[in-house]
Amino acid sequence: MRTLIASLVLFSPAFAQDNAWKDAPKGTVKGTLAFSNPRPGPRQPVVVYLERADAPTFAPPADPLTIRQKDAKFDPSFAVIVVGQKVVFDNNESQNIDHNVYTLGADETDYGIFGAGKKVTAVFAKPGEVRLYCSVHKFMDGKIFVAPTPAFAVVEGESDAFTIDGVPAGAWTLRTYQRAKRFHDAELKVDVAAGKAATVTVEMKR
Amino acid sequence: MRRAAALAALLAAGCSGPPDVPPPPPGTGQLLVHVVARPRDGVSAPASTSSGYGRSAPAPGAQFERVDYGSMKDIAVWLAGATLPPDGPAPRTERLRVGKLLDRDLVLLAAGRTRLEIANERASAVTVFCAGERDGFELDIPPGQTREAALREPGRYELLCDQDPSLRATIVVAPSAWTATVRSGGWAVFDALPPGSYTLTVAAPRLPPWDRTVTVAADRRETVEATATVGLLAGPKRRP
Repeated sequence: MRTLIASLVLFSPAFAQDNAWKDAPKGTVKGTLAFSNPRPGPRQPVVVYLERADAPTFAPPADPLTIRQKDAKFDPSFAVIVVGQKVVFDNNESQNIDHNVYTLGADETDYGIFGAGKKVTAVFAKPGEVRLYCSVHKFMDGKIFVAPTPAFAVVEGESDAFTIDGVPAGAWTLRTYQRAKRFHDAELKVDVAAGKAATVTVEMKR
Repeated sequence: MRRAAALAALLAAGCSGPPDVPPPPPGTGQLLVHVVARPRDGVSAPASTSSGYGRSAPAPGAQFERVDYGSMKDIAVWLAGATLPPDGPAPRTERLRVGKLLDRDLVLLAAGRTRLEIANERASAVTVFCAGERDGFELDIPPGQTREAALREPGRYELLCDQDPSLRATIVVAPSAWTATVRSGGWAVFDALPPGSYTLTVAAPRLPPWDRTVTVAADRRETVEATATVGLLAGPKRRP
């Protein structure tokens, strides 16, 4: 396996080797997205995430996210990871087809060209939207949202409700990210107390 | 502005060589930008292009179609700077057609100056939308009709369609009226510029933006080569 660690991971505000997050007293954030207008099309994912400048340090999930390149598509074409988590790009074509992976947005890196059966590992050190492309095949694209902390929920399907468990107590900023951006993203303050659930309504307006 | 409009028309033609333009008016400068989209090193050009560089859902079996950088169109070029006159050569209207495919990958608007007309050429209604942090629109367009939108907040927007999520286009709102849209190999001409330093930006569909500071002197013509390519990214090839 050809491995390329292409991004530095030293300066993420909360990503570190020690794990104060694990030992912090925790609460829960429960909420509902309230949309100002109907969403007539397919329900696209909305990520609700928490961040703050002095967030406890945490170790990113040990399991990497694998994104396959198969039939000239990224599979999955959308995923959410935590900053510092590894992503494995796996050229899983059954024929001898080269793919290139490059990213724009919160990460802007060319991860090289690799043939069928080869893999490339990336680490995304900055939170935000990362758009995936292949410079060979024009229909290949995808998106990753890199959450700044492990405190996030993905709202999709018919329900607009969400729960974020295991949130270290303290004052947080709640923000949203939409895979298909239709509304202005929301931002609101949430106080989380240990052993309790904070309830919020997140207004998504146009 | 008539002169500027005439010169701006040159860039739409996508001249293969440097355009034959008159010198700038006395006391002003002129900027010629040659824009080329290139494949990444190690990626060859496709043997043939079946559908140009359109962004849409591939036909069954066509998902392996390769990017043809040589025929890339809709490459956005714009200038920004405090001394730019507000009445630059931005077009008044840009048009996007929603047929089986979208006819453009990228639409360049000048903030508050360029209207966007979206024509629905399908047999059924479509809803198209986009949103930024402070701006956006959602349009329900009956079949055969056209609706108009405007965006004032500079930035990058993704235009999406409810009825066909594979239809996507990028809308770039430039912070000035000094804009041009060219094909790969084409030239953008910015005429009658006040002497000064400006930020020149080139944004091609799917490719990383290219930008550079350019200095324009009175009674001079500056020529700039701008290459849009994945090779601008860090990684195997570093940003120059």
